[in-house]
Amino acid sequence: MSITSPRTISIPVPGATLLEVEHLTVTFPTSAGPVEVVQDASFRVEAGDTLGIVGESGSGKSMTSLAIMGLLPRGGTATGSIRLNGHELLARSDREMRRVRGDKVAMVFQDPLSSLNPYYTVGRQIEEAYRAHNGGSRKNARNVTIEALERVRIADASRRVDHYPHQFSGGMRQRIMIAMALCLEPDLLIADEPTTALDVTVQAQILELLAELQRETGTGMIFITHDLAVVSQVADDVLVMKDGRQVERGTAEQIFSRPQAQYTRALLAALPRIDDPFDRLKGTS
Amino acid sequence: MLFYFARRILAAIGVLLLISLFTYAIFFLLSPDPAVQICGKTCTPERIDQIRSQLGLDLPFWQQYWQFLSGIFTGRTYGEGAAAIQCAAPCLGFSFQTNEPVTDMITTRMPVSITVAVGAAVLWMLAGIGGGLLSAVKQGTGWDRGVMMTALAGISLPNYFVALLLQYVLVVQLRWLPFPQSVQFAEDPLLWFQSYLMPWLVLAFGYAAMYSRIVRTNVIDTLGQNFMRTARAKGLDAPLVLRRHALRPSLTPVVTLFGMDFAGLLGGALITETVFGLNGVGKLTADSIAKNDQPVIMGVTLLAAGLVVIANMLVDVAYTYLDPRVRVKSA
Amino acid sequence: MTESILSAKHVSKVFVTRGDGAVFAGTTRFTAVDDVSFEVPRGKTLGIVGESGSGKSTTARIVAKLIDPTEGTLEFEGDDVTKPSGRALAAFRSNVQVVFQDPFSSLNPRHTVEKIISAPLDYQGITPKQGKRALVRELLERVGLNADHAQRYPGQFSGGQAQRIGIARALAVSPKLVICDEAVSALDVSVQARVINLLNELQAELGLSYVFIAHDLAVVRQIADTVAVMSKGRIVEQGDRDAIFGHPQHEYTKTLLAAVPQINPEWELERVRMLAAEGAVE
Repeated sequence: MSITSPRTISIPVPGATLLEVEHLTVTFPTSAGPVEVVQDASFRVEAGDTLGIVGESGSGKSMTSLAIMGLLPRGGTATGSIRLNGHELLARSDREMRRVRGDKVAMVFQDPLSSLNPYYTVGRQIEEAYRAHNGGSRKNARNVTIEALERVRIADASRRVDHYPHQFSGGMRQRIMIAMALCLEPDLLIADEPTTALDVTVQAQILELLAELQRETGTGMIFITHDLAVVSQVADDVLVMKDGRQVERGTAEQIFSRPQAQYTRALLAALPRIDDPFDRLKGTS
Repeated sequence: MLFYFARRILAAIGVLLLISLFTYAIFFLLSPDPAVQICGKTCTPERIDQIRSQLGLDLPFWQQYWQFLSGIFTGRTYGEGAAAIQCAAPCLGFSFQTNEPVTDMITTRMPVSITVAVGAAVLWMLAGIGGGLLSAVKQGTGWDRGVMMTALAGISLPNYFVALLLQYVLVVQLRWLPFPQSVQFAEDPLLWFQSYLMPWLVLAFGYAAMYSRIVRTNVIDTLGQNFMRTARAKGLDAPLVLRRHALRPSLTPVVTLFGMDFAGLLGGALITETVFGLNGVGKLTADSIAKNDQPVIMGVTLLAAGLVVIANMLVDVAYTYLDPRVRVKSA
Repeated sequence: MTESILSAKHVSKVFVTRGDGAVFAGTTRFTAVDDVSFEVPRGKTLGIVGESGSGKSTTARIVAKLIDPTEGTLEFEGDDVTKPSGRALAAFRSNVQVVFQDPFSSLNPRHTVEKIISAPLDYQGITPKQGKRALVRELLERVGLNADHAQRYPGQFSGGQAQRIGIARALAVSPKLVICDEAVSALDVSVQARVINLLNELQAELGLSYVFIAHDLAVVRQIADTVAVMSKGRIVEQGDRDAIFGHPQHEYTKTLLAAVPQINPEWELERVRMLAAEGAVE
C-alpha cells in the first residue's frame, strides 16, 4: 500500500461533464408557507474547470452548494436533479451521501477559524477526514496529512501538524482547510467564499494556490463569491444569481465583456475598481 | 508553564491566609467570651481568668491569630507545666462542648462526607450530562421537554423537601429501602449502599437539574458552530460528529462548575446529612452552629474554604490541559 | 493649500494587557499605532487603508476620541483636543460623529428610528429649532429614506437602509467631520455603491469632511481625496489619491495594489464599448 494514496486515482477526462445540475429548487418551510431560496437552477461543471457562482446576499448561492453536499439546514428540501459523474445524488440517503462528502465532493468554507474545531490539532482533523473514507492506520493517515500540508505550502509541516487552529494565521488556516479538502482527491471542490474573510494580499496567495492545485489534480471546482473581480480571475464559466434565480450564465469572457442581463450590468457598474475602465476608454479613444 | 503553576499556588496560599484571618476575626472577636461559655454555670472569676490564659485569650488579637495559625502547621501547647495540654499539628483547637480536638472531630467525619459527595457526584454527572445531551440532540421533542421539566423541578424544589418526600415514599410507603443507618461498608455492603442511596439521590437531583440545563445550552451552541458543518462535510457519520466534535467543546466548561460544586460538597452537605442523620462534616457544622461551638465552626469553615480554593486551582490547571487555547496562551 | 480640519501629530497607542486573571500575572505591551501623523483637509475625505492588524481601526477610535492616544496630539480646527475637558469634549462630540461597520449591531433594535436618530441631540442637549420630529424627517429624506418610516424599528430595514439610518444619526447634530469606520464593508456591492454616492452627495451639499477607514482599496478610491496606507501600526505612505493609486512609491503599497483582483482589462474595454454603442452610457 502506497503512502500517498491507497486508492486508484480516477483520472479526470478534461472537458467531460463532472457535475450536472438541472432544475434545482431548494425549499424551506416558514410560517408564511414554503419559500424557495433557490429556484430552477441549472448548470454544469466540466472536469478540471471552474464554475464561478456570483451573487449578493440572499441570492441562494450558498444554498446551492449545500444542496449539492446534501447538507441543507434542517427543514430544507431540494428537488430537481444533481448528477455527479452521471450518478444522481438527490435520491440518496444520508448514509450514502456520507461516502460522497469529502471523498467525491469536498468543501472549503468562508471563515477558516470557526470552521476548524479549536480543541483538536489540525493534523488530527485532516487525518480524521482521510480515515473516514480510507481507513488504514493512524500513522499512514498522518503521513498523508503531512504531505497534504506540504502541498498547500505550510512550512515545517511535520511539526505544524500537531498545532492547534488558533496557532495559525487566517491565510494559513484556509490553507489547512484546503489541505483537508484535497487529501481525499475529490472530483469536485466547492469553495464557498474562501477568501472573503482574508486580507487582500493573503487572498491573492490563496487564489494562486487553488489554481495551482487544480492544474495539478484536475479537480473540478465551484467557486462561490460575491466578488465579481475575484470570479473573473478564477472562473472558466460564470453563473450570476439573484434572489434564488439564475440571472445569467456563460463563459467568463461572455459575462464580463458582453453581459446581457440588466442585473449583471448593474453589478459590474457598481463594482469599485482601483483602475476605472471608463478612464481607460477615454485614454484610448 | 512552571512559572504559571508557581504563581497559581502562591495566589492560593495568599487567599487561604486571608480567609483564615477573616474567619478568626469574626469568630473569636465578635462572638461572646468563650471562657464564660466553657466555664459553665458554677463559675468563679478566677476560673475564667485561668481558662483565658490557658487558651491564650488574654493575648492581643495578632498574637492569638499567630498562635492559631502556627498551631495548624506545628501543633500547639495549651497552658503550662503539669496542666499543659498537647495539641498535635494540624491543631485547630478543642471543642468547647466535648473537649475533643477539632481536627479529630473533622477527620472522623470526613469519610462520611466524602462518600456522600463522591456518590452524588457520579450520579449527577451521569444524569446531568446524559439528560443535557439527550435534550439538546432531541431539541424541541417530547424528550427535550420531559428532561427540562424534570430539571426545572430539581432546581425549584428545596433539598430538604425532596429528602423528606423521598424518605416518605421509599422508606415509609413502599418500604423499598430501610431507614438510613450509619454502617461501615465492610460490615454490611448492601445496607451501606441502601443507606447512602437516598442522600445521593437527593443531592444528585438538584445538581443534575442544573447541569443538564447547562449541558443542553452548551451542546446546542456547539451544534450550531461552523466546525460541525465541516465535520459533516468531511463525510463523518452523525454519531461520530457528535461524539468527537460536539462533546469536548460542550463539556469542558462544565469542569469548572464541577470542581467548585464537588469541593463544596466535600466540606459537608449541611441539610442532607442532617435530614438523613448522617454523621458527616455537614452535620458536624450544623451541630456546632446550634451549640455555638466556636473552634469547631472555625475548623469546618477553614476546611470548606480551603477545599474550594484548592479545587479552584486544580480546575484552572486542568483547564490548561483541556482547552488548547488556554494552554498555549499561558505557556 | 487647503486648510485642515483635523490633524494628528506623532500619535501612538500602546495597549497593555495582563497575562490572565491570576494574581501576580505578567503584562504584555502591544503598539497598535506607532508615531502616526496626518491631516484631514476641510471639506475633503482622508482615506485610511490597511490590512488586519495595520492599526487603522485603532486610529479611527483615537480620532473619534473613543480611546486616548498614548502619545502625540490631536487638533480639531486648531484647538488641542488630545485630552479635552468635559465641555470641550462635548463640543468635539457634536462636531465629530462616527458611522460604524455593522449597521444592525450599532442600532438599538428596541428603539424607533426617530429615537435612534435623535439620540445624539438628547446627549448634547440640543433642541433643533424646527423641532425634533421635523428634523428627523428631514434627515431621513436627506439620506434617501422614506420620512414616514420614522416610527419603524431597525429590524424592518435592509442592511443598506440601516446604514443610511446610521448616517442620518451621525448627521443629526450637524457635525463637521464624520468618521466612517468600515462603514460600507458589510454591504453588498450595489448597496455599497449607493451608500458611497450618498456620502459623496452629502459632502458636496453640507461641506462635510470625512475620515474613511476601509480595508478595500477600491472602495477607498471611490471616495477619498487623500489616502494614507497603514501597515503594522505605521503610515507607510500618504498623499493624493491619484498619486497613491497611480504611482505608489512604497513597496507595501505596490504589493497591496498588485494583490487587488481586477477584471481582465480587455473584457472591461469590450464591455464599455458595447454599452457605449447601445447608448447606455452618457
